Amino acid sequence: MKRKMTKAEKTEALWGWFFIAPTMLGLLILNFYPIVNTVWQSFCKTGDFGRGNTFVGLQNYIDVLSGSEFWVSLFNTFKYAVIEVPFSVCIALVLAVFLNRKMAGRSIYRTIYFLPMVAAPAAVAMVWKWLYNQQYGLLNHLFGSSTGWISDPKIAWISIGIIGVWSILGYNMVLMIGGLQEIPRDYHEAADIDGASPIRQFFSITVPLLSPTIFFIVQTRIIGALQQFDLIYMVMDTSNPALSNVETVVPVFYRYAFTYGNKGYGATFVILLLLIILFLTVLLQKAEKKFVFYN
Amino acid sequence: MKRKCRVMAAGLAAMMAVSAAGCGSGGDAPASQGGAGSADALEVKIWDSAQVDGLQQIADEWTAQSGIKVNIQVLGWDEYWTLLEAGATGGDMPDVFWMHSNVAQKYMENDLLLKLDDYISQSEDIDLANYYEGITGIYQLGDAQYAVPKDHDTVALCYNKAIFDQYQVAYPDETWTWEDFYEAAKAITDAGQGSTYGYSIDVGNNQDGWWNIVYDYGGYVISEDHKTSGMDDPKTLEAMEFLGKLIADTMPAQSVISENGSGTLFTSGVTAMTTQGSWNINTFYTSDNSENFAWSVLPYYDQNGNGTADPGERCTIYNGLGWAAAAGTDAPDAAWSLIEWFCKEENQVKQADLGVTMAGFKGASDSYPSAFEGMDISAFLDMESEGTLVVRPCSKYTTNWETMMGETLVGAWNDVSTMKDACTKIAAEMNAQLAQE
Amino acid sequence: MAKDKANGILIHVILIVVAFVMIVPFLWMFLTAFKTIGEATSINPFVIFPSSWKLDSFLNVWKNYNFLVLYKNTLLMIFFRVVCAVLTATMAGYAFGRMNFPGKNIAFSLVMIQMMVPAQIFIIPQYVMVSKLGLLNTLFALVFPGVVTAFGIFLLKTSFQGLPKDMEEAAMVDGCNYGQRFLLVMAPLTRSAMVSLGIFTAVFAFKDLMWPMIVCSEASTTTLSAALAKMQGQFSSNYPELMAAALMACLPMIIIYVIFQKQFVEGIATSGGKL
Repeated sequence: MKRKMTKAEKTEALWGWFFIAPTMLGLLILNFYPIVNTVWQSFCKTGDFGRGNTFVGLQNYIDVLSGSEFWVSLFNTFKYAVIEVPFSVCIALVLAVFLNRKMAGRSIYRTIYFLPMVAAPAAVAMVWKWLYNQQYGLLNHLFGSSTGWISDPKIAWISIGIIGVWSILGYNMVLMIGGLQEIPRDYHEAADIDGASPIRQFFSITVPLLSPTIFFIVQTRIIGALQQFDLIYMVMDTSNPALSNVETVVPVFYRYAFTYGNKGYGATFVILLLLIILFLTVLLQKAEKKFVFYN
Repeated sequence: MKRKCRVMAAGLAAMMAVSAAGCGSGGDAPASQGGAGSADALEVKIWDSAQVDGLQQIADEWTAQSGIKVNIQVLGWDEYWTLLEAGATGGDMPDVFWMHSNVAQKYMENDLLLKLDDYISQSEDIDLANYYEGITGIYQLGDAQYAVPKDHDTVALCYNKAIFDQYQVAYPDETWTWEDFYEAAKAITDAGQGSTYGYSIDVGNNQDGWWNIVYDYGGYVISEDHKTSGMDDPKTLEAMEFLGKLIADTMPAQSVISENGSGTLFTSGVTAMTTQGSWNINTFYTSDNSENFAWSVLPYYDQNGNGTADPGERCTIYNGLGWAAAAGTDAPDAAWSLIEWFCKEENQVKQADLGVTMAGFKGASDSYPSAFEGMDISAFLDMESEGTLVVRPCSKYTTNWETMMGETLVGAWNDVSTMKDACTKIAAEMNAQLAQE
Repeated sequence: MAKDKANGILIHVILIVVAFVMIVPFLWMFLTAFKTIGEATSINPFVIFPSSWKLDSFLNVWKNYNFLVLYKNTLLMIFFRVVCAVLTATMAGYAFGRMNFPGKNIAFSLVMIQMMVPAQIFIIPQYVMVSKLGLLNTLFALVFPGVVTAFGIFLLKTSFQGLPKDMEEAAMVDGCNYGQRFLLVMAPLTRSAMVSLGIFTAVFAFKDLMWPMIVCSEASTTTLSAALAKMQGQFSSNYPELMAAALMACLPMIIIYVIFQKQFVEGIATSGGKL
């Protein structure tokens, strides 16, 4: 039997709901209705202009999972993540350690590294396309090459990954500096007295003590990388020969939903991606307990 | 402490209320007028920024008579269709807008366009017989007419005289067959040694590129009843094999074309020739080195081998936009009146005079070349008098198979030996799509 | 000591190389914007510096796209999104972080799910809502999806959880109710988290691309990011003008960032790292 609430508990509940009411209302309207709507669409053959949806059960899922497009785009998504996440995290870690001390020009470095974060995504895409341009681009001129940086299927995914790393590096670094500042100085001082080399200190003190921050960044970046959209949508034209080697899941969804007007089929892509992300999140939470060092 | 608590709380609560109200009122205030198509203003949407000044000028004269303001907004091609589709889904379309053959059938079948038959039958200025039949037909469903032709376009060949002079190759003229075109383009490509090429088109340059060749060879892209694909027709395949030769021997790498577009490669002097639609003339007219550019009719393919261009041997794909109105507009009479104004003979002539586009009204385009002083663009009109007009291939879901076609051909562009396989694959996929329409 | 000095120099060299890589795209954007199309697409000779510092591209872009209006729209959108997001997130963060009530866990798991869903799936239904309200091409439409932020709730919840108990208890003993405790005692203590959230919201609002593009299609109501994306579609080959537009779109945010960089970086470092 349910215990009756005391008066104090009732007051707390009322206030609690009062505080979260605007948020919940917003979330329901802005996010949950769309999610439910999308789930529903994934079970439908959608008509033109959102009219005449007919329920087709799991047909879209069968079609998507038995075709190659979903698997290719999922593979591309992981290829992108494999470049963006490790590189942006490792380089950011090294930079953060370098900058986490009193030195000349510290804030100038920090400012420059963070700069891509405040640039509009369309601007980032435009300028990188221009740098990578096979005919007129700066890169091919500097290297004296005629490489199709974003159109050669073998390397385009790396080129896109580099833009991803460039864009997020400063942000990761700033988060790491925040984490580093919370490591008490005496650890390193004690290690200095013991004569441990800086590299040794980095691996045996800095990395373990920073592991909660590193783990947080890795986790959010994996989810972010799996949802990559702006970059690929803006950089890769539809006639780009490398498109099918680079296009990740969300742009494929966008193409089906907006270009082909096949919203049900497109919705199936995002729902499947969502399931994968949920699964990975659970996995990562489990991994966190194993690998992360909390003092 | 308790009293202090109350006073401060009241103050903070007031601040919050103010900021919340700010949020609300700021949100309610429209950032601009527009939107509602009330009778004192019409909302018009188009996708070509080069045409907006001329069209606004024509529309202003209508405003002077009717007292109804016309707000013309320009969007990019992709945004235009995303928006129109979203607007159609959400029930908020512009009053008057451009229709295109790619999607006309889909919009007509879903009753999103205003039916114009009654208006047309009562109108003194509009008689559909005066307009290009192919274009009028695009905007017909059953017996009903949903848009009036706004313009028409043709395709011609642009060449860079400086490059032809440099490599001592004779300029293109109306005697050129596609074979002559190939020889000249190859000569330039060979002499150019990787820095200059004869020609370039990308997979998506269909209307202004390879579709013309397909029809010159007697092939076709889609059957007249819009039910089957012609991509595996033997004559189409013959044309595509020839296209493969052009790609392999006269063009830069497809990746280069894809990144820059064939227009930019031409204006920057990388390629000597480009085929372009009349909607694009301004790009070349206003280019830095436009004095080097000249236009010629498209080459022809001598199907019967008699040495002259017979009907059907020099084709230009043509298309025309239609002025349409939303079925749900608040002001259907005003919307029609504006469409009528844009499409009546006098203003079709004016549209050509101002260099906006060639007319949808037959014979109203003669003054168009004079809008480009210093550049002879009469080749676009010659394509009509000397060539054969072929309506742009379309069906209900044109965009779907056209996109698929482009994506599939990327492989063939990069390895021309797979051209035939690609075409067969396109035909199969296209037939499957058409069967579901 | 000599070794320390050598290490210091090595570190500086590495940092400078990375800094150079980070800044090259911006430099190239800047240099291209001052060139003519001819200079930008000239390969032989390749042109690095424009022959003269021409402002034509900037003027053309300024004239053809009403940049003042774009700046104004972007600023207003950022302002209202920040105000709304900070307000709702602080309130909800307090309730989730420091109170107990039935339904709390379910409500919070809903917040978490929102963070995992690709934002693109919200676009069509949200668009239909705004469109049915007849509010397309308004400031409301721009602000609409940004009034609540799951990320912000998360941030503020963590921040509230980290506060000591005794202050709130003292206020409780004084007879302040929850509303008073929140407004007077607790919320002010999370000021730095609010500032971080404000910065995050501003940056992400500025970078939002697809939503303003679809919902505010008119040139007079759209934002910098969206206008820029459209320009790429319209003039895909006029590189100097594209770069000039990109530079003009990014400049205000860069200037704001350089001025407030301490708050930016430290706000993100202190609150982001705690998540």
